[in-house]
Amino acid sequence: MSKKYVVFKIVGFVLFFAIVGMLFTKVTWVFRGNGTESREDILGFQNVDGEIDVILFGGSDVLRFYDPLEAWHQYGYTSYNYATSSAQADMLRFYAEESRKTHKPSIYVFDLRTITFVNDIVSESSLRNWSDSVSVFSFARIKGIYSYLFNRDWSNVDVPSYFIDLFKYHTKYDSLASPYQWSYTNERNIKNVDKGFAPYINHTPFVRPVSTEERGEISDKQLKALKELLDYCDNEHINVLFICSPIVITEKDQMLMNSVSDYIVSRGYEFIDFNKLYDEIGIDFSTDYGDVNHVNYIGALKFTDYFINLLIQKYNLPDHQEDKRYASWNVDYEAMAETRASWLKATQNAVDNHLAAKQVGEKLPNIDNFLDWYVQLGNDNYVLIIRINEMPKDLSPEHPFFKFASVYGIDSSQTACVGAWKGTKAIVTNSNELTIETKIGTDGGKGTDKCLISIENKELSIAGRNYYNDQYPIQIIVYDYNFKTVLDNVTLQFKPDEIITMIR
Amino acid sequence: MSVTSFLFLGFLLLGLIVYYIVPSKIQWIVLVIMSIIFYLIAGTPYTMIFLAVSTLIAYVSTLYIEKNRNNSTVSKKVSIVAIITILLNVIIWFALKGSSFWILGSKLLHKISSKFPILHPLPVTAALGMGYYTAQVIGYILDVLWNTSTIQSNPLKLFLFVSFFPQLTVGPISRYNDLKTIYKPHKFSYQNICLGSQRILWGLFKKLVISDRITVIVNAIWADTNAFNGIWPWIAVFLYPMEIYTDFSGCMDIVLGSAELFDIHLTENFRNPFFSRNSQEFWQRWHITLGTWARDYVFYPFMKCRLMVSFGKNCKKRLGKKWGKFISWSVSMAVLWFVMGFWHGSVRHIFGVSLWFWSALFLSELFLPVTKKLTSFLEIKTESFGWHFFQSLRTYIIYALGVVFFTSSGLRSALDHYIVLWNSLGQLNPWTLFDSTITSLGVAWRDVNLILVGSLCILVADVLREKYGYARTWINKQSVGFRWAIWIFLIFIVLIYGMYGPGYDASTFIYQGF
Repeated sequence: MSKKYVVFKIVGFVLFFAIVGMLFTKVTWVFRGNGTESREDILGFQNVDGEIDVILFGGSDVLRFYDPLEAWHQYGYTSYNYATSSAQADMLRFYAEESRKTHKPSIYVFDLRTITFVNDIVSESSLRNWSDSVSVFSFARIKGIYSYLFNRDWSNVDVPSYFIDLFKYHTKYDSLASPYQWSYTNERNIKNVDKGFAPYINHTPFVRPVSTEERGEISDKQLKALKELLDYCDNEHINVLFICSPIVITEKDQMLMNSVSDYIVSRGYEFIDFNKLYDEIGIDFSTDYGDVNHVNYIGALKFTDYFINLLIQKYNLPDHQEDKRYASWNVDYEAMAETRASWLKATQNAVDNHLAAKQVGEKLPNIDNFLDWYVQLGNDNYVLIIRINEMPKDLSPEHPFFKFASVYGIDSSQTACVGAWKGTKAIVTNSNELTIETKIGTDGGKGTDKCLISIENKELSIAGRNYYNDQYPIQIIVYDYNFKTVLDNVTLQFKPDEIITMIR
Repeated sequence: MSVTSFLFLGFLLLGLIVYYIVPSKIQWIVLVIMSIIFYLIAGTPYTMIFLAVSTLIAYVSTLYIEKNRNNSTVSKKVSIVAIITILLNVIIWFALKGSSFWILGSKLLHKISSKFPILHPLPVTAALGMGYYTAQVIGYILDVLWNTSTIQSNPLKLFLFVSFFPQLTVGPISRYNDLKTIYKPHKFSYQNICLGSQRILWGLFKKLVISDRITVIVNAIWADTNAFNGIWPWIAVFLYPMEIYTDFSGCMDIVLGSAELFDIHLTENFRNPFFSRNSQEFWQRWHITLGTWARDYVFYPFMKCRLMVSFGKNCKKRLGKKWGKFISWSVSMAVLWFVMGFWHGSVRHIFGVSLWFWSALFLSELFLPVTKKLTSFLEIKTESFGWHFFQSLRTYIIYALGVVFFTSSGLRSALDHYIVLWNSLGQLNPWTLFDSTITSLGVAWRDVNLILVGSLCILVADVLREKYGYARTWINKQSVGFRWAIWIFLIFIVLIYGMYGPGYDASTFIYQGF
């Protein structure tokens, strides 16, 4: 074997695999099937013009609560939400490592709300939202996947498909028709105008959580995640601020955050728990949330203002507005103007709609005419719980009651019926049996806006309170889906002249 | 650990690194360790004892044979020892892998008299690749007995011959003389790595892109012949040979390619079987190592045994030279085909392999003079492409109709399949091939196109192989750009269109069960 032959073969080998590797990266981008939001945010980050002064790392709450373009507009510093939905705290150091390849900001903000999700279970979306949005051969990505999977119970997990995600996505042939899929083959072309801000434009009212100063237990896994993140910050000598985003926090999570705060402070870092600053931020729990984990756009505006001021006061952040290298930031801000207006309008509409429905609902107990009463109810703001122990006899099928009942799929041939309807759409129904159990409302991951309805003999329980009224065989409860309160509780009595008496 | 799994590819890569790093004298020990690890992951660990027992039997018996070979006082004893040890191996195989035979036998006896109990399978799992290594061990003992092979005096080395990991699950059935190079030092060769990897890639293409797609269609048709009637059962019949070919030969490519990475060249098991002009040639090109094993260790010894020699003489005396020879050949072939069917381990295989192909060969030999005269009378150009194509098609059809037994779960089900085929003859409607029926078989048109284009690629590769020995040999003579384009294209076709990963349960290799 001549020296020339060996050199030729080595060069050929390297070149061959370089071509395969390059094509593999492109093909992987074409087939990737995780959320486009994550890919746009993560890929868009590396193509941001100029230096970024502040990066926020975290989960979906970061994406919802802080608008980097508003900060640019108000003070001229640059910031970016490097976050993915369902992120977990032990991954944030890999987010930071990956982000440092293209930008080295002066402030790193880590949202540790994500520590509450750290446990032994592999959550596919938690990992893939980020790992499948980063170049397949990124070393930080490989380390991140390795760390995430092998610190959890990976026994039933298809491990190779996390490292080489084409193994999972390679059959998504239909998605190839989407122009988005092909746009990722040129990573440099992906621009993220919103800088990682994607607010909630819906509304769910909540009751303000009760604050506590008690300390909870940090699990071994959570402590390990925290320690590794702090070690990373120590080793990289980066300027860090740890926060917990303003959520509808449960007492248990608040106790955990108090302990997390103690640990972080003991390691010489600063931790700001925004769940202790609801008043300072000006949060109104009746209007500012989309769900338990996310503020809506109205809440985001309040938080963004507060956070901008906090950063400006704490750090000496530069103003780049006159710098030509940052001209695209002004363009992006202007480009989002219409979208911002539509976000605000949609959120405000949702709030107004819910408040108006609440007002109407609160007047229901004053209405005595059944026909006037029930026409108010056919919309998604109310849940109707109907219990019929015995179907009224001697009524014609044309009787107003059956007209009302038919909207809910109840007919005179049934002997009994119970059920719950959101608007006119059944959540649960049961004909001829008087036992159901269901949950009303979205739980948002925490269960604080969940309402259990249980109907058995002599019991009609909502959120633990019994509303059963056995005076008459037909009982209807009107429940405010948004504010999670019982608005009206009536029983019906029938008279021969088609008049229905509502008894409360 | 399937040979199509990422685990296997990782295992192979790690093993290769260690294999070429360690001193060449102990490379074979690396292979022993790899074989043990492979077995422990792929099989039921405790069943490795059966491999050890077979190795021990072969080791002790061959030592005895070698020691007493020239001792005339115990020459009979040597043969008896060989027969006993072969029987021991067959009994172990029969007890564990051939349970369907003795369970069926006990059921039949029970029907005759209820005094006979119905037997149940042993509560012991059969060893991985038992049919393959048992055949290898038997071949080795006979080779030593007939003095056509040297003996292996190191039991660990003999164990490696029995358990060499790439061939353990699906063969090929190697001869000791052919596999002896396994113990020799092997230098790292870039060419071996390239050729081995290319062959593995080609095998993955056959298995994951073609075979597993055809499997979906064939299984869906047989699962509901009421919905898929008319032409569809016939489609299943004629697709199945392609399925089993791409499955088995694909697996062979992975196995032979894996061995090639270690500079070990195993015996070929396929040589373009669908180019065969008749069933006899087909079985010389299909599962070659089983065919040659049965020929060398069953057919020839049987033909040469005293009983058959005297039977042949008697036949010649009574029926004349031509018919006497024919009868004697037919009986020996019946034994060979019975053993081939028996090796597959069930009664349906006795029908599907033994009876079917013995009948095909018997009839073709019987009518050979007639067909020769007919082709001569009709002045058929027997070397023309058209005649070759007709003969190959005829052979394909004979094989396709025979392996219906393979697609069935039992004899009864196979007969049901034949009834379905017969009944559907009157309802053939080729138009259903072009409407949306095929999409209700669990595949899309895309899959059908892939099967067609993939089959065309296999055909081209087989033609190149027929002409140049190996398609790879032809490819290697091409310019770098063209060569690389072919391999890169193949890599991405397998990556994108291979049926693997989450959501897929790649079917195990059909011949892995034997």
